Amino acid sequence: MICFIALIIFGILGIFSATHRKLALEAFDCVFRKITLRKCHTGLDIRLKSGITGKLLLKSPKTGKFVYHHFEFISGVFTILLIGSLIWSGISGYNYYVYGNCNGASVEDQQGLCIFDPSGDNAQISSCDNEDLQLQTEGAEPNIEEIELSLFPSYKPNLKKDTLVYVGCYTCINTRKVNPTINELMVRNKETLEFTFIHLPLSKDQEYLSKIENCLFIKDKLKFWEFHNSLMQMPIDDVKDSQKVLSLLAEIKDLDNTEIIKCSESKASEDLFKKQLTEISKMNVEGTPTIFVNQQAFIGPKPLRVYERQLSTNTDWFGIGLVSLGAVIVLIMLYFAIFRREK
Amino acid sequence: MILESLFNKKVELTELRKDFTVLSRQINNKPIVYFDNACMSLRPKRVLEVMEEYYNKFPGCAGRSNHTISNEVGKAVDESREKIAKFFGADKHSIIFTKNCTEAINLIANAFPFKSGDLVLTTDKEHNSNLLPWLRLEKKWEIKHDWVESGVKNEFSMDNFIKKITEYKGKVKLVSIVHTSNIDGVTNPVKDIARVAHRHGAKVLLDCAQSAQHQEINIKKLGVDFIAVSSHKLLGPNGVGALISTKENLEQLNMFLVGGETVKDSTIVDFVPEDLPERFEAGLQNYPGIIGFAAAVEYLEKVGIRNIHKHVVKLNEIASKGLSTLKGITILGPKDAEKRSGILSFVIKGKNVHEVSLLLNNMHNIMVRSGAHCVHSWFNKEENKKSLFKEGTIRASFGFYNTEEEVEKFVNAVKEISEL
Repeated sequence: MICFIALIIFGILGIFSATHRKLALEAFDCVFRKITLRKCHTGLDIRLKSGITGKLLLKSPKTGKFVYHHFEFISGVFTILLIGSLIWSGISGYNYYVYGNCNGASVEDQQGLCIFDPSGDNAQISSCDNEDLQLQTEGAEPNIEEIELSLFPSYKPNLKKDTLVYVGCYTCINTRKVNPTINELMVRNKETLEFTFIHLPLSKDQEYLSKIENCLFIKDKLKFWEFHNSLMQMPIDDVKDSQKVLSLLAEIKDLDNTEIIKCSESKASEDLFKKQLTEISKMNVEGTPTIFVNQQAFIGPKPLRVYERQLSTNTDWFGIGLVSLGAVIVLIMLYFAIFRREK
Repeated sequence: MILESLFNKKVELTELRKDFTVLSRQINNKPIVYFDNACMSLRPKRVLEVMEEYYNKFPGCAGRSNHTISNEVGKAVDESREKIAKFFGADKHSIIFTKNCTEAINLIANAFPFKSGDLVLTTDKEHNSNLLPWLRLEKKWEIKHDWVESGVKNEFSMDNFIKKITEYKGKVKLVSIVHTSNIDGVTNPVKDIARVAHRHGAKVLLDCAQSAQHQEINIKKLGVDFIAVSSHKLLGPNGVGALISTKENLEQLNMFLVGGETVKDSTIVDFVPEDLPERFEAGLQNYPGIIGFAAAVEYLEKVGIRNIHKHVVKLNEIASKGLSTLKGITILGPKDAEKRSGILSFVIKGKNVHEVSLLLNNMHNIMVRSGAHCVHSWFNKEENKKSLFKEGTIRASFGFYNTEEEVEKFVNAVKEISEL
């Protein structure tokens, strides 16, 4: 039992010291032999027991005696705790790889503490203070199942296999952080990924942007995406300045910007925007960015791999690797336990 | 506490201990207690000084060049050879320096003029160094190996020996036996063994690794043909040992390791062997080691082998008496400590031998050895595998620089551990 703990501890210390590397190898040999039902020859367990109890016996004979007599049990308890902790760490690592956080798929999990992302950058969102938007967030998971996505600008591929719904805001720093990742995801999966952009105006003065975008999308889809990308690259302070935004619109070639502005001020545009707000309210999003890949919601800017793993076209090499490694370990153990058994 | 000692004066043991620098060492603010003398003895300052002198004053080759330094080395080695030979009652031309006792035995295994069907007889308590060379010989050539089973109390059985050597009707060409066993300290009746062996036409090789520090080893008095010793068990440096014999016996050996200094002359197709003992000392020798070895035997002579024997037996008696009062202790070998010279091998019921030795070390800086002590073959015997000694023993081996206080400390520590 103690060898298992020693393997982990000396394994870590062995990164920095050759002496501990040797001990780690001994511990590995011992653990490997024990799990393959053979006898441990290194004597490391005895050395550790004597080392620990020897010191304790000198300092506190009673404690020393207790530890000496219950050494196997105590090491067993510590081993179980260590194994539990390792499993927990393994799950955390897996979650971090798959969901970009240590805890799991839900929004609550995504906002929890994660040792691999101690500052919580991966889950940071910009919250909404727009009075027009009554976001229902309390205890509810973000959801797009009953949302009328056709109301929002979207890109439709030739052969749709996956959907990505991107709830973002041009003045939100976290949306800016994730935007290059989403662009790359789009480029890599342009043949199969349906993409919908939902502009969530975090403040009331940003609502006009939604209206302009709606009109632009209806008028010319390509120009919409051009404008969308330009806005994402524009400094945030400039986006907050409507004059600069309208100037940007005016810069788009072969586009009658006055027509777009006029459209955005129309009643039809207002109606569409209200419908959009109603739909957004039903989505239970807390802020931006919130990204749905095939119904799985991700809050905050996640690494590309996290989004890619949710795509049906993605080959899960990580999972395959893990399962293969597990299978190889089990086979090696079985080989030693059955064919290299010692009397 | 007093050894009859240097230059026939009485010298306090505490004074003598000052010659061994390591004995003043403290670990975790506690003095060390070194009871692993059967594995390696400590070195007096004098041994270290003469070795340092070699490196500082005349670090050259002996017997090759003609310059001053080379001549000084040659002279020092020659004098050392003479001193060591004298210590073992041999002629200076009959001592061959080796790396250690193991190499000396291997030299015999490879150089002895065996013929197909010849047999080597050992005891059943041989160190791997005096077993493996014969097992290898058995596998490689048609030389057989057999052993004499110990009698009751695990002591050498002369009856079994006579029976065995008689059965083989002159086929036994070499009786290779341990003088003092390193597992229980029991000394074999060498003179009687040699007499019987010679009567049956066999030569006798004696493994004196363990006995040389505290018993008089005189090749003529013991009546054996070859003696193998290691310097590191005799207060000397590591990496030096010797095969001691007579000119007549050495002349019969085939050359084994050959090369530099083993020939008088050579052509591209042949060579003329060197005289004894250089014929068997191939290549550049461990000159500081040999000089240190001589200083060690000189030191032993000054302290007095009989004094040493008396002292270690006394320490063993105190320790054995102390341990025998403790519950769960079993001592390997005869009850009488005198029969076990400076070795006390024991087990504590229910305690792992390595664990005990580690606890002695970790708690009290008492350094002993645990396990099979390189005599696996004895511990692997079916009857021993089922005995209390199946995992080996804890072995305390005393040196003349050890004190009664240290032994008392050891007994108390064993008591503490046995009560755990």
